[in-house]
Amino acid sequence: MVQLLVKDIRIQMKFIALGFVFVGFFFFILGAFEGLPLSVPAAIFSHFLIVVASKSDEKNNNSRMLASFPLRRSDIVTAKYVGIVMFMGISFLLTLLWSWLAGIVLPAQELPWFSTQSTILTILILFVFYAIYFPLFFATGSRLVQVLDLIVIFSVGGVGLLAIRILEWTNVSIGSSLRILLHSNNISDLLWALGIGLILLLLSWCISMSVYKTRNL
Amino acid sequence: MMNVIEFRQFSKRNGAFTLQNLNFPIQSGYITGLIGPNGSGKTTMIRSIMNLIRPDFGEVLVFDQSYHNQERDIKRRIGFVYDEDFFYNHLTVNEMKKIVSSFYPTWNESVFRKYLDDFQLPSRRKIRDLSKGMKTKFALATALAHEPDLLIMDEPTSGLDPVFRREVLSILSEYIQEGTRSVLFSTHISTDLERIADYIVYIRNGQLKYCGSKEDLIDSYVLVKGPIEWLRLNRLENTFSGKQQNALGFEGLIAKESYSEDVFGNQVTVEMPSLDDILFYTREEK
Repeated sequence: MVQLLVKDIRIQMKFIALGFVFVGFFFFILGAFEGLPLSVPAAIFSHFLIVVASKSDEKNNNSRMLASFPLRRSDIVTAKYVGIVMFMGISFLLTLLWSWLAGIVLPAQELPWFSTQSTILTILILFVFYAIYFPLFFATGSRLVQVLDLIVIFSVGGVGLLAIRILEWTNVSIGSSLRILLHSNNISDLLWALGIGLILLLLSWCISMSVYKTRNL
Repeated sequence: MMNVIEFRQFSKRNGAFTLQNLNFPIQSGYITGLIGPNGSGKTTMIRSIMNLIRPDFGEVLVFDQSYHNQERDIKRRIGFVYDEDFFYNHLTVNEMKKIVSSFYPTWNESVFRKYLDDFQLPSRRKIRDLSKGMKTKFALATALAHEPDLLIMDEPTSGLDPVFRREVLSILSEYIQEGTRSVLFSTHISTDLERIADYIVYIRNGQLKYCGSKEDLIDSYVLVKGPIEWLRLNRLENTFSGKQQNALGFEGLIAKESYSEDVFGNQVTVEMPSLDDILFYTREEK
């Protein structure tokens, strides 16, 4: 499985460099998304890396090649989930590196910041996204992979908004609950939410395993 | 004799196509050719051997082991070349090699370098910039560099020029010299098999038609040629597995046990068929 993670880094060396430049250019040099916490560029960066790694594995019959290597299918699935954490780690570290580099020339109050709340919330959003994305990725393979992330973003976003509207119409104050969570200074609330995200990811891993083990490649 | 591959009551349905109850072994230490018309199930069979396709019933044993509990061990001993692109196209030959080699503890860098030199493959060129022939050469180099016991190739020589096809065949012959290694390759080009295959697996419409030595297959038929008039007079049409006729005469394939010199006389000529003849004339045989 380690070889699969190293492979994901190898096939992405140029994209990691590109993402690093992108974060530096847009967030630190252009000052885009000013006022937003640093977890936002880090999340965009990690999402970019995770999705590109997945797409590369389903392009050009690469999945057939991977499954022909001395690996079990469970290794391939597990490596994708471990890859989420790995690429998130790389993205957050490289963003932190930019922050440190920018700190040499910019005064501390002008720098974007890493807050615990925003970081946990960002990780939670990524966990939920990949908990939905990967079972679909392993089920559909190359058929949908190029647009799968957009499908998930729009359908989950759409369904989420619809659910919020319906709950509001039925006088359930979901909006205020969400606002409490988003602006919560209580770390334990966020950690609970993150725990739920992790459970979702675990369930998603189980579904991906059963789907991919029976798929014909 | 040991079996390198064994199909046991293997069945797989894929839409309208079915591989039906396959039961046969492939001998270790030889080159076995997998032949059959387009859509006969050759690629499905190869993917089943690689455990890329799950059977509906039965199983495939490789090295007398089951994929259920020995997948990694089995695949470590297999080299594969498919008929399609399967590398990461944006990487260079060298970068792709690093990825492949990391999966094989038996990777032999000097063997890989030797093939790279022999095939004149530029190690810094991107995979997407290689021609089809060069991609096949690279696939072959990576498949052989981890010194597998079984080499599986799906249409490796299709689309290649005759010079390189010959080169591939001589590499395969050299590769099995050791006596313990085996090759299974599917092809449409039956002349390639005539040159090097020891055994033939012939599949048609998802069913096994023949599995045995190439010589026995060729020896089991005769190719008969003669004038149309002879065919009309002798009413032997049903004896033929298949035949073709035009204004000048006819040509047909007959099972050797159905042929007798007394019946056919000396108005017809009898020749040993090629694998191509057998494939062509038996295409509609039940």
